[in-house]
Amino acid sequence: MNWFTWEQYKKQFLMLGIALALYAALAIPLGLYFWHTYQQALITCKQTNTCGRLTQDLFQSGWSRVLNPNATAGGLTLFNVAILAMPFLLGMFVGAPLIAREYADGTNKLIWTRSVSRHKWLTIKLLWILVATAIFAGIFAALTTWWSRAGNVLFSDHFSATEFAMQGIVPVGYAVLAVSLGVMFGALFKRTLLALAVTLGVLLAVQIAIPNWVRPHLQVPHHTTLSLYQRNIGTSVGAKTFALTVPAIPSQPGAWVLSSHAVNASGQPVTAVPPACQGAFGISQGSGGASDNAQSQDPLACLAGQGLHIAATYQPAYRYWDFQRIEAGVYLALSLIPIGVTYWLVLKRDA
Amino acid sequence: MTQAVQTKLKYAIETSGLGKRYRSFWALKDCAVTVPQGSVTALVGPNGAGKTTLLKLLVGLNRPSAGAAVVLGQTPNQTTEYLSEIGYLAQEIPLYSQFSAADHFAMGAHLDPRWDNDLAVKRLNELKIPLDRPVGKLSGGQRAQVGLAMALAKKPRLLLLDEPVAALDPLARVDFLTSLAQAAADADGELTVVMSSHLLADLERVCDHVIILASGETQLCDDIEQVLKTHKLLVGPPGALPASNEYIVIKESRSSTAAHALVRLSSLRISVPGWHVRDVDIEEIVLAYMGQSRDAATSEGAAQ
Repeated sequence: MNWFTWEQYKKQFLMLGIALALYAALAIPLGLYFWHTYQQALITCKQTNTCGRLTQDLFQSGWSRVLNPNATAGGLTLFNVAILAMPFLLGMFVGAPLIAREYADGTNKLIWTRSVSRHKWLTIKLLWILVATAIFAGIFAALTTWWSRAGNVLFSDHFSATEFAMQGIVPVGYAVLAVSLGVMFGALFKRTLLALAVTLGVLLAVQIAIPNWVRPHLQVPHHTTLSLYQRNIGTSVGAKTFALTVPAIPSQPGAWVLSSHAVNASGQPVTAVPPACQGAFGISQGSGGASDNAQSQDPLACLAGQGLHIAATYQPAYRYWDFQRIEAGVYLALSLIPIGVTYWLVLKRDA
Repeated sequence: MTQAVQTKLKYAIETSGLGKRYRSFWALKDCAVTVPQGSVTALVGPNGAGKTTLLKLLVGLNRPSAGAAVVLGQTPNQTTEYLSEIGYLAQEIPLYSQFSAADHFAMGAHLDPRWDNDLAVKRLNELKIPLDRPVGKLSGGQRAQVGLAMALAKKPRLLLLDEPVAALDPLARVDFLTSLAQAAADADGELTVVMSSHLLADLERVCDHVIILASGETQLCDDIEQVLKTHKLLVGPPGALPASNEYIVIKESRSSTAAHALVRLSSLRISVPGWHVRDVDIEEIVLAYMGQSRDAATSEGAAQ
């Protein structure tokens, strides 16, 4: 059965190998370029004492052409999409046809009437495919992690939704889940195309649900309060809205900020501009009229003077690998469900 | 000195009350058939009669909704012990189209404990079918031969063939039936063959036993010689055949000059005053049963 499974899927394995080689051919020069220019810039900035603006300098020296997703000329957005698509493609094109094609071609009736139990047939098939998937995804993610290391150091963003899904060991768990789901839907529908479409739909749902609703709660977040005397505070102020946010915690580089909002001196959330600072924000106070003094005041300084600060929850950067391990484990554990259902479908249903 | 005595089964296949329901439709119901060890049995019936369903239940691909089958002393299952005894060829002759015949044979060699590679290769060489070409590029008839070789080279004790000759040209059909008969003869009673077909001419050539299925029900299951003995055509004057407990009418036809009735005899002796008793061939008998069930189905208003 091992020999046969190898014969049956060796072309697919070869194609996966070629895909890896192509990716390596892109990722290795890219990673070398980033790392090399980063190291060079680090030496230069120490000499000229400009390390505070290292990132900007690197962007101007050419990184922006490949790295900045917002730059119109940036090629990396597409590249990132392709990397994020890897588990989806595996689920759709390796997982879904695995059993669906046997049903569709009727070859299940050939193979299930050789002298091999369906149980053994399925076990060996799944082992080969899932192990191949894990190896492929592992090497793929290792390449991604490797070429991203300069960016990880500079931007401290590997907790971000896209970076987290691309690097480390999470892609392995996700790829195994994707292929397991594909296999199950293939066995359920007995039609490759339908299985492929449903697999894509479910994987998209998982990929939206996990980062938004599950990942933030894998460990109890830390709480902190931040004064308003700092950079990077985002303000959203209108006649009826008032929100202060921070994208990052200055003392916690690389931390994943889950929430941030304005609170007053006693810790109560503040949802409207305090009357004393409305002038500073240029909001009409109606009859009273704003004093010149208030209008000339810095809005944030005014708010700080009213005792406001920002309360934030975050996952500290040192938890990154814990999160990677937990989430990869969650995906692998979830994979047991489609695998179990597949056994049930294949063994208990008619051919 | 004791000799290992293998208990010889009388029947290779024995079913009772066997039924298969797909949603609300019974593809096979209350099927009771016996297939003697070493026989070559024809499973005949119109399309949708339940032939494929019965064969799938026997090989263990599908599970019965009712009743039970005993095949070579076992309930059909998915174990190596059972599957290695059964050679099965599905109707659509499924093969891995990107694999060559040689690849398929290598698969058989890996998966089937009693695989006879020489037999498989010899068959295809005799038929001049290329061993190294992907089977997807072979003709339908050639694919059928590869499928048959896969079933035969497994060296099964029971061979279940679903419409094996449907895709073959007349010459290949004769070739196949001849080698099938030869294989059955060579096995010296150790090989039982059940072959579904709606090509009635094939029956008498190789089969010694017949099962007639129609509308999911067993119409007849017997030795062909016995069937020929117990089925006669009565020819007499226009008018109804007198009722009798000596026979059951299967099919009647009347014209202005004469009446014909194909009957199944309860006893071998029969005399109906004024009526002649004539022999009929198996083809007529099968057609009569098929026609009977079709008429019944039509009057019931049932589909198929």
